[in-house]
Amino acid sequence: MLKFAVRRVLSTIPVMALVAFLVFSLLYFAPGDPALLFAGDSATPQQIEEVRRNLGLDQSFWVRFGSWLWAVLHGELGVSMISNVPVATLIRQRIEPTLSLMALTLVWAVTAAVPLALISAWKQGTAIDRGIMGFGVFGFSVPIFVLAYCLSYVFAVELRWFPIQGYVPISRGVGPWLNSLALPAFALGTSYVALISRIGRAALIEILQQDYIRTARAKGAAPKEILFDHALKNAAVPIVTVIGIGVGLLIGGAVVTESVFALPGIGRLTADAILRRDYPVIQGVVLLFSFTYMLVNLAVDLIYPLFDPRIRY
Amino acid sequence: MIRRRQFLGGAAALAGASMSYGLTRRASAQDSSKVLKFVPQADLAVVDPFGSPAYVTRNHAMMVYDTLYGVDSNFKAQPQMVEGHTTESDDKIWKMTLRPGQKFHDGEPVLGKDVAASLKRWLGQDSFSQALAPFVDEISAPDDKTVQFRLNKPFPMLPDALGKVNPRSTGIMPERIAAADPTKPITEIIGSGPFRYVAAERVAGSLNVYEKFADYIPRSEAADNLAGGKVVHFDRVEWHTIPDPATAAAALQAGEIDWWEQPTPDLLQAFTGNSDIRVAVTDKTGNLGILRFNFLQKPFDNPQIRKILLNVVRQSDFLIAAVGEDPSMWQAPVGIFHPNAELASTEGLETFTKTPDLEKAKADLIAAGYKGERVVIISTGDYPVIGAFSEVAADLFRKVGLNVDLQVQDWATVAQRMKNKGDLDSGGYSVYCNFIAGAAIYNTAGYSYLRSNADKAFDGWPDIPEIEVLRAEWLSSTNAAERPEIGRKIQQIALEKVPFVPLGLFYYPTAYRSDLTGMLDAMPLFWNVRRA
Repeated sequence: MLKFAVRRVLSTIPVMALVAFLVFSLLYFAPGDPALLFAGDSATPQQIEEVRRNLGLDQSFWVRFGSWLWAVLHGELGVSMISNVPVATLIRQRIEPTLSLMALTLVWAVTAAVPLALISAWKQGTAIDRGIMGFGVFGFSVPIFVLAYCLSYVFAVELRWFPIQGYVPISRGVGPWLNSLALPAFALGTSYVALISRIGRAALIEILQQDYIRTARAKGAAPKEILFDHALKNAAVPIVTVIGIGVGLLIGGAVVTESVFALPGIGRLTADAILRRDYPVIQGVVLLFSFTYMLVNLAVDLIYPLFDPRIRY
Repeated sequence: MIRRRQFLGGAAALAGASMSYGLTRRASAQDSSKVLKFVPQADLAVVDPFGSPAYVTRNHAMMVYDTLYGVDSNFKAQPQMVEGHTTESDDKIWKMTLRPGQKFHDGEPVLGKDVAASLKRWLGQDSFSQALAPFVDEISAPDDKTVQFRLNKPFPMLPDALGKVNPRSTGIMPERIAAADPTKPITEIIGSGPFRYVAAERVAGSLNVYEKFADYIPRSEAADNLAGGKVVHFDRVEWHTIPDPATAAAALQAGEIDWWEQPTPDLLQAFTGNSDIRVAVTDKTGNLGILRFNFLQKPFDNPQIRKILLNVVRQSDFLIAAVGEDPSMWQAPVGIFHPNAELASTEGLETFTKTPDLEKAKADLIAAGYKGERVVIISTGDYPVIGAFSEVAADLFRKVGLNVDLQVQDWATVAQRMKNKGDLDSGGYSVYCNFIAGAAIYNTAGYSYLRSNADKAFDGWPDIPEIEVLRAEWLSSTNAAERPEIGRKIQQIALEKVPFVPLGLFYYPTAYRSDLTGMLDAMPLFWNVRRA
């Protein structure tokens, strides 16, 4: 297991290098000249040229890529071309809201989706099943921002149970922290609930038709025992897989959710950086997202043997 | 192992804690009466007061940095940091005496050498200071209380330059900061203004915090735009960047924020009938819509074609598309200068109100040499006003037979393309629409769109030497009576040679909680405002 984990961690290095190369190339070949924006409206051509030189934009692709990669390997992600704040500082300032949002979303999504999948599979073909699957279709179909606005209107503007915008750090209390994240997490997690519950239901239905389940029933096992001890444990592998894949959805969804609820997270940082052509920030956050995604997939791989002892590394 | 009931109980307790916090939060909202929560028109990306022409950076600079002079609501420069000034040698030497007791936010006193270093850093940064620079031989500090300008020719507008409202602040900072490498941005934000910038609380892209500067000594006169006493009534002002307008509107309605600088027109109706929110036009100088031709590209290198197109522009068509039919939100016809400026003229304005003869214009364009060249209009959806202006322009140009290619992109791309002097196949353009703050068009000094010095001019690069000559005449004019005539002549030439087409003046309302009083008729200023 340890050998596998080390091998997997090492295998992320070429993947990360490829990601870094692609991100750098994409931004290098994107139209537009950041020196023009950086120099300002009243800059003369000489000043623009000086800015271009200072930023190293006059260097060749390979020289620029090489210096950037060298700096990244030394833990330096560069400095924002707009705010002049180091990218690492920007990420550090923004990481807590995003991690909090993702954690809460995952908790709410898994907590809601697994029971829904169980009930739906157990009651297959009934009105309850159709109702849950209807909710699944709803969850997939409604864009996050529409749901976010609806939730915000009802629970924040009308009922005033939750704030409309902003983030309260957990250091100021669990209640305020939870209060500030409840609506964003619900909005972001709904499609995730739909995804996990549908995949979970399909996996459970397949398992509930297996011979060993029939045998358990014939031996008089209680429905609870059949569902939790026999079916759910065997359906866990596809469910865990889809949770891992869904982290990619969460990253994309966080950009929208953080903008609608004005959460100062990485998603908003990404959106702002793209709109301003702040290349060092874009490169930094894309690298971070890629690395996170790979770590999540590694974690998923390592979790498999816990549910299915036949899987060995 | 956790049991199901325990888990459900825990989840219910968390949800309860969250909701009950939400309810108690409402009750405690009144406790923050000394904190003002403000949503700026855009994120404060650049805190260096010289670092950006953005209005949001200008507004930030006005809070943190004090200026030697400040213009009043009539745009006349009044002493602010100075007690007064004297002139010698036929107005070629200006000696300005600083008010006593002024301190920087780091506790150090404001001295003449700080002022001299700050103004040297500013000189050449914007169009007003670029106009001033050739007149300046030296800026020095003969003693701690005095700053001296030695000019090679009289420059009567010197106090106006030092007290201007345009971006690129004339704010004063410690010499050790001002004298640092001018090619590197300022990162230590220390001024002597009424608010201290709390850099430690900054979350770039989300939050900026200002605290009342206890050692600031306001002038005794009443506050009037950038002039007069800057008396602060809040201990703390927080700027919250809320990117989504609907969220900002909801936050204002719920009382989570106090002031939203620039609500989008489509959301204003959400505040109708809400007695907790007031919507008002505080910046009565408005904004002038601009249709800018690229002088480097065919067919707009041809002055006849530019003039024909100017003649088919009816300003009200553009303004209604941009801000709606409420005539209190716009003004037309408006010429090159602000209607309240001493340079304003009504010369030739009738063209902007008449119904255009599009068929005649079509024929005139062909006669003037238009050969069906592609006309690329670059536009953006990020600023609805610019988007609307561009749509109307595209429609109008098509009606007069131009081969229009309207390209809508994000603002960052448009801002980059505006500077592209290349041809259409290499990302260049023919036309763009934009707007400029009314305060910037009171005179020629800081008026970037009016500069017509070819490749040194602002994007679009008009080459009209006559305007440059008149501008120089105005800058050195010591006779106030002759200035309106200079303005009239500039407008006459501008409507003939067309550096840009003025599209009329429009206003941006601001929205704030009705318990706020004392808001000045100006850009967002945070002194004099208090909670009732």
